[in-house]
Amino acid sequence: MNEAPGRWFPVMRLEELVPRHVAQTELWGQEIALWRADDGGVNAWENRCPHRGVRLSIGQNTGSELRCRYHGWRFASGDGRCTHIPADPLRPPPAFLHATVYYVAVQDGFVWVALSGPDRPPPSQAGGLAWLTLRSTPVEAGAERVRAVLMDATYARPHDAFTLVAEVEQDGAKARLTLMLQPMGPARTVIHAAVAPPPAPADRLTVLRQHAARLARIRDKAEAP
Amino acid sequence: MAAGGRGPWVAGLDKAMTDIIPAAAAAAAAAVTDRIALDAWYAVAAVDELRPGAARIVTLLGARLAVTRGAGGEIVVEIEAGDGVLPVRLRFGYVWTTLGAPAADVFAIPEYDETDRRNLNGGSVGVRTSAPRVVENFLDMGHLPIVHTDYLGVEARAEIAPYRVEVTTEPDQILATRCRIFQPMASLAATQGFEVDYTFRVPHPYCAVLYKSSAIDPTRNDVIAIFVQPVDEEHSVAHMLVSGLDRTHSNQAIRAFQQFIFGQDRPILENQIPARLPLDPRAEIPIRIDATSSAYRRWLRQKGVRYGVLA
Repeated sequence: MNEAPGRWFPVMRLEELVPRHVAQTELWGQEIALWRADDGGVNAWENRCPHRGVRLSIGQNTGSELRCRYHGWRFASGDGRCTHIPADPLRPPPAFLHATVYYVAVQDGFVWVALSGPDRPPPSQAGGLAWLTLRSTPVEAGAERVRAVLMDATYARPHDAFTLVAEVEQDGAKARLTLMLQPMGPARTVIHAAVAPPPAPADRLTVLRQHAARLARIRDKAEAP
Repeated sequence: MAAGGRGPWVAGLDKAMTDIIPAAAAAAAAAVTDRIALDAWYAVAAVDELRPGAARIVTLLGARLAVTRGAGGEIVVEIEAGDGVLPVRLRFGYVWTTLGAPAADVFAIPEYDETDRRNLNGGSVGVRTSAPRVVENFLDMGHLPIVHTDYLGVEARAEIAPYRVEVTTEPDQILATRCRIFQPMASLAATQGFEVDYTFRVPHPYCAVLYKSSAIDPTRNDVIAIFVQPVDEEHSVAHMLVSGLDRTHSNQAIRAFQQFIFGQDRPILENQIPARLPLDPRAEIPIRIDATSSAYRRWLRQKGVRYGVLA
């Protein structure tokens, strides 16, 4: 599997990207700092301050800027431009100083990232229908292996190289389970998943447990030597 | 070493005092070809932490060494691969050794010999990064108000005024002078904040010395030095020296202060990527007040240092 330039990958459930936090993830071996501004804007940046290489994920999310932990440089939500350097506070930072910004979008309850220029926004996997996002499952195995195990274990149909769709039993009825792979690195993959239709509120916990158990079995199988 | 498991490698191994040795380190030792790194002197252990009769195993440039203090106080450094005895110098409270053939002795810190100074080891801390990243952090003024807030700087006065940096050849070193910063608690002896004058000196690719106004006598300086032992290219032990005028606080308290400050730097150092210091000026963008750091990277590049850096 190659890096599929221009392709969007899910990296986190939107609900897990909590306010004033900086999360860390990885895509094709590239570390990413993920954070959400108070205005709802989501940022996916190279996890490295352009000044001295410190991980931005140990910095502070001020609500509109990300502040590097080492020298307090501030980078604006959106374009990643450096707005303030405490050691040189009176001089506006040069325009070329900015965090390395990746393409980011919010779709179907997930944050999606593209490392290089996508030609259109991420297509909706939910197809406009309501679905319930499940807890994402990290697996210590490459995407190719995870995909093979998923197809084997759930009779999933490949939708594309990184997306599979399976018909599953959900509380006595049929449901559509969508599985989306995030290749973190050569031997690490996250399975992001969602199910449609969403279960009735009273059944929610039972259904979540069924799916969690299913994904845990898949993880164990993919990680088995 | 050859079969037999003689002496320090087995019998006297003091596990509690053994470095964490990366699995790949031994293999890396054979691969070190950087003449500058090989021919330098390195502090590898504090003299007063060596227990008589016990060996301490340390790793230097990927090579395992045993540092032994005999019953009579004599100190011997042996290398596992090659089965030989290495040169030893005792300086600034530390045992120094080398894997190569240094052209000169360990650099001097003349203040160390002033009779009214308190000289003590400020602790040895393992850090998961390259030696040059540790040295650069030690030379960096800009982080003091941000990382050591309310001790070595305050956020409201984070501006760093221009200072002077020069590189000399006799001796071969970098010197940064006229550095000034307001510090609320410049040392354990400080009872109030004051404008501190700093001088930084880099006499060795992996060691640096700073001189800062003493809280006790404004006409004199406290001297703090960092001697970094490269365990391998991405793991280091930072040995600290404090040579100050504080006569009231205990060694333990002064050392605790030093370690508290270094404890604030460590999570930064371990989160710098890449761990090796990039010497290409385009790899990481400096600003004007990073003059010392820029000079340090240039100096390493001009010397041809390759260990712990990215060319």
